[in-house]
Amino acid sequence: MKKHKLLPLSETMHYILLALREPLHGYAMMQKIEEMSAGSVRIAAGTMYGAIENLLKYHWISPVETHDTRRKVYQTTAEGLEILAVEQQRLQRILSLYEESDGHEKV
Amino acid sequence: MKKFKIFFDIEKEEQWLNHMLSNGWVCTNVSSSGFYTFKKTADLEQVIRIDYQQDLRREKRTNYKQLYEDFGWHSLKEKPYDGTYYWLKRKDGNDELFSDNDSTISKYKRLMKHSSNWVVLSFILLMIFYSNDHSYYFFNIKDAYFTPGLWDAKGFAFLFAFLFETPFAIMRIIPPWLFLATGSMYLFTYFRYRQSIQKLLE
Repeated sequence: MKKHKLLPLSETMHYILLALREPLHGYAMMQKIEEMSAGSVRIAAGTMYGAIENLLKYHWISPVETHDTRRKVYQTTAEGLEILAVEQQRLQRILSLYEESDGHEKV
Repeated sequence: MKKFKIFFDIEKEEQWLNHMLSNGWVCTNVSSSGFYTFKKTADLEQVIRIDYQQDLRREKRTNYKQLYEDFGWHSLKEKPYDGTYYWLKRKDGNDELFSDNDSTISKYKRLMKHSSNWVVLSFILLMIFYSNDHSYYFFNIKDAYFTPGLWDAKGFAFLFAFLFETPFAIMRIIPPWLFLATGSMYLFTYFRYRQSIQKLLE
């Protein structure tokens, strides 16, 4: 199978998919991601806009109906959650390599 | 205060607007003909960023603008027909529109496409001019004067005919050179954007 263009996920995309497991609009997403990453990831407006457009294109996130007509709210789709599961496996594999080498020698 | 300036490169334009800001002049309007309106300001802690987005239809544009405004940017001017959006903000340490390499590269790619479209368009227009029957005056200015026997006329008759025909001659000579100049500038800009991507990847 050909690897998807967005895989492995960039830090920005990864955090957005994780944050959107609950419905949020762009600015709230940025705030939540800043909190999730302990202040290390602060997504700028243009990057957020482009990432949302990109993720919508692949149906990894979708708009959610709300009464706020100006701000669009999004949520990670089932497809997006599958991508997260694949990424989790990949990262777990890498983490296990760190742990293995911890037993034998210092990294 | 009004200033006239033509830019092919939006990064140069952005630099200039921020330079004006640092001298206490904040841009308040940008006209499509190249006039920039400035107003005196005491607040030097502001920053201007120019964004380039293609084809933002009405609904998408509302969404796009709302998002940027939520992030603290004030719309200074939007030119949807050529895709440029001017944003102003008080400096607070998060003064860029793009926070990662991927999205910065995408921006440069959008800009490269914009420049290359202009290069192609300019050269097509140039070809149209160059391939029609009157193309010879492209290099020979005398040929752009159509008045029969003009160059054999003398004295007042010559002067009168010459001055009469000059505006028309100019109208014949200028367009092809203008297309050539525009095309070359956009070609140059195209390579500058490409260079910016390469610098990011180093």
